[in-house]
Amino acid sequence: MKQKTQVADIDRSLYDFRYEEDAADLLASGITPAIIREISEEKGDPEWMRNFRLHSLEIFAKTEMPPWGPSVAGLDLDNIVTYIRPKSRMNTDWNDVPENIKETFERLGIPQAERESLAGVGAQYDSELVYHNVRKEVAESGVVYTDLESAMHDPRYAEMIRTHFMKLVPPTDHKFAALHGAVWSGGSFVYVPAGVRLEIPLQSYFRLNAKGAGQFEHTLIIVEDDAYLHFIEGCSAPKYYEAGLHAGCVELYVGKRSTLRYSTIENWSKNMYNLNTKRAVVAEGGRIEWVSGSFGSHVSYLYPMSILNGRGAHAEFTGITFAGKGQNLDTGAKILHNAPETSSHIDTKSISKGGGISTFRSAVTVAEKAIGSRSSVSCESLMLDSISRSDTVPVMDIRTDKADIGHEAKIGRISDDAVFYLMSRGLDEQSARAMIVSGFADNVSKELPLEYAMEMNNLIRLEMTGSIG
Amino acid sequence: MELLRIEQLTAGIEEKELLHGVSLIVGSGETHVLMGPNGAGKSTLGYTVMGSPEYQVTGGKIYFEGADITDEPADRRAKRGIFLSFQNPIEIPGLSLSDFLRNAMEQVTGQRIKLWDFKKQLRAAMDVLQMDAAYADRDLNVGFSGGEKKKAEILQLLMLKPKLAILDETDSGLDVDAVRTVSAGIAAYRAQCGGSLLIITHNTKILEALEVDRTHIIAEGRITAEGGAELIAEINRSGFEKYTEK
Amino acid sequence: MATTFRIQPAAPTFRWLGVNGTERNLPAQLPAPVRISGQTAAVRVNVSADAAYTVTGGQTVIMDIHAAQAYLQTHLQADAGEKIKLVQIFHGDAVCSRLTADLDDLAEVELVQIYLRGSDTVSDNAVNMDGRKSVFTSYIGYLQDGDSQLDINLNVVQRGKKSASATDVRGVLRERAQKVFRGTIDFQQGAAGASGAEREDVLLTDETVINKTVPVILCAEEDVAGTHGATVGQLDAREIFYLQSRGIPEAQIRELIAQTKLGGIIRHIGDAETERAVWKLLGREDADAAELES
Repeated sequence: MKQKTQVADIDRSLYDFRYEEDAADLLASGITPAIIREISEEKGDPEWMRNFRLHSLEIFAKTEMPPWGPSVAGLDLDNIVTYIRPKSRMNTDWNDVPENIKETFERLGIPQAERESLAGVGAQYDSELVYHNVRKEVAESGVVYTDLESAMHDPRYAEMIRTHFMKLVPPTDHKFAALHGAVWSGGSFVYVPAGVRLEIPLQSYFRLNAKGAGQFEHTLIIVEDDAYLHFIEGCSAPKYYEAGLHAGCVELYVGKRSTLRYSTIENWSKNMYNLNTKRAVVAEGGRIEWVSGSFGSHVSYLYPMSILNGRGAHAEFTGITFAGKGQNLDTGAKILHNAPETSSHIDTKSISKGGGISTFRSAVTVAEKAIGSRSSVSCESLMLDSISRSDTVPVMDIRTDKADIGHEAKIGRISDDAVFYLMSRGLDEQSARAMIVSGFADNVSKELPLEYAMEMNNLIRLEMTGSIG
Repeated sequence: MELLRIEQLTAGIEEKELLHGVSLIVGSGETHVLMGPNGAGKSTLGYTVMGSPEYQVTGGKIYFEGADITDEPADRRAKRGIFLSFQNPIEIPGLSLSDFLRNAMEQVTGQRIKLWDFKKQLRAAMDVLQMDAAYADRDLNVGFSGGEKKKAEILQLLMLKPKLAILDETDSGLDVDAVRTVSAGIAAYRAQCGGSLLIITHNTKILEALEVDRTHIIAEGRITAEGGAELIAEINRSGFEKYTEK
Repeated sequence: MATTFRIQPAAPTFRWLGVNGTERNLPAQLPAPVRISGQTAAVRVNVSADAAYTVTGGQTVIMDIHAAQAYLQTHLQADAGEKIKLVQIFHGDAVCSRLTADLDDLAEVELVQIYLRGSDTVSDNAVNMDGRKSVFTSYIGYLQDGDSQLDINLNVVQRGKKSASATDVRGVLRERAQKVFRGTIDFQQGAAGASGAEREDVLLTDETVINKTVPVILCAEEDVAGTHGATVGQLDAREIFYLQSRGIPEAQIRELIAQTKLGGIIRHIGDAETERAVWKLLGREDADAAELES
């Protein structure tokens, strides 16, 4: 019988350490108007926001769960803690961050990354941002990078927040968008003025520490015309027996001829329900580039959407999903071609092992007016054993004849020839397989900054070489 | 008698002008050679004369048998008797070579061609080119090798019998035997219809069997020298250099 | 009392795309299936009203479906080592068709479906490849124009070891035609060595068409090879110029390429009389036939 490499669960010790939170800081669990009012009170919302939250709650109560996708039956919404009172106010000096929170982020390498390669960093611990800082020269160029609450209370940005907040992803979009609208807390606001090209990335890191809690951060980025921004988002949480919920929301506005690159390495613990909504709208000649690695979570629903609203706008989605034991990761992308000569490219890889389920789901829609548009989709799936699942569910909806749309999907296993070839050059089977899988994920790793690519390759190697069978 | 007259032609792709005022006359029954370094505008000229929508004419005129064809679509030009052999013939899955050819012939001649007549002519032309009869039923250019594609182009030349054949690098990438076969096809075309030839090439092998009336050297989108057959030997000796520098 | 005919896709998805199913009302009483068995020559069937058939191994059946408001049910029972070929030419109105096929070990089924200009056709096809080394090959062509609507579901479930499926779909949509094609390859656990391939190639010639293409692969087995491809779009400008340079006018090139697209499917009918009839429905008169006969 052929010897197969046995693949163990990822070594999560890096992410699994945690600190106890004070019971006094948790708001009562559940989702009721009283809780929403309490959150709103706690955060000192303006009136429009309090009303928005209550209205979203009504929508949440009325909206059904989607009839497709992985089950969220294990999620007990009545017992999710939606808000955790912060231990400290937002800091711009790392030394002011409370010791245990500071240690958490230091173990995750966040301040070090900032010193080395980032233009600015934000760190959210449970419900609120605890740290936010941008380099002086970046701030002087007019770039705003702050937490969303501060921006909402700042007279310079308050109106901008009110006119953009949940306009791309309205609470009516789906049940968890409505929940987000009701209980959102934390997240970042980024504003890049016209003509400013930020050559080094900004990063936000989200850490959910409290057990049985939810994280509902909102990221709002406005990139004006002729500008450039690379934004990196990282997520992790330690593992608990109670399921956690992440229902964040990302809204991106990309101006004319601007490029926004949005990179995510998601490594939530494997009992997390990651029901995240991300959406970008792109003006004439602009570009949105999504780079997405999904490694963690118990269940994921994640399909970043690009709305190409201006002539010649372009969307690029590069993603990898690695579903291991106990994981059901439903990921993909949506593209709406809504203007002439728009173009899009989706390139995804997915890997299933140890009973994990990965589903690639996409929708490419070409509207009547999107004449001269082009789209290509390429998705490849790798099955590492026969107790796992890998599904591919793409839809193309084309409503003009003046478009060129292509789709290629492929599913299979690691080729014996490739393994043999590498072994003939002296590699043992396990290393050969690990190397082939890393190569398979190359589409994403080569799009990431070096240190993130290395982190991702480490994640893959850990998944692949846990033990030998 | 004058067949093709190009007058002060300027043309290009989008903003970029590739031909900067080219004039050229090809008479009936004559053989012309258009030579020049890579990127000189040789193919651009051929495609523009055929009416490719890829190139926009921004100035000048093209006349065929006295008629202004500058703005005519390609099929009208084909009906008038212009033929262009493509450097990279397009593959069309599902459309057989013979169905396509018969359709084109019926269009060009404006009358139905009986199946048996068609088959007879096709057989004869394929024999000249030493093409396997099975190619007639294969999809147009699909899975053809480079040499087979070139032969299929000459086959169309023999069947459509144009008054002017523009052969764009028909000899490039062919081995010695294939060049000989293609040359035999061109000779047969001259013998059967006495049509004119405008041969775009940088290889003189294909010209050996032909009597060249006139040679045009094109460089950077302009005709820089013209002469008789002797110019070809001159190019062979010393290259294009002296014709590219002002 | 009416019963309901329902297409349920193997994998539902985003609701707003409107591809998660189709429903039609059916008459309460469906005819008992006619068994087609033991014939040596191809069996020609005219479907002009509600009908049901069961086809057994060794048969070649050619169905001319020109009914209006009718339900057609066809079951293909390919036992071990047996072959069935089914050709279905749809050119009626408001036809609901349900095809089921069971393939045992080493069984082979070849399906050719052509959908022509019929308005509102709904076709649900479920193929069960339980048999080891069973082979399913299908060729599906459509040309839809006017206000016609076409909804096709093809679900190929591969449970048999080394089973092989291949589906080639080519179609043309014109005017205000609307079409949904859901093609699913479902590799079940245990289908070691199985392969499945599917392609859909759609040509759109008017700006008022709506095309929905849903190429799904479901996989619960490591040792399989599955591919899915789709291209949707317009005529290639280089193709048009090439043909035009040989003297064919653009309008005719469009017609020619549309017919060519279907020609790649029609040639798999394998029955000269039926192929001629289909070409005639496409408006191409066969002038050569008269010459050949004289």
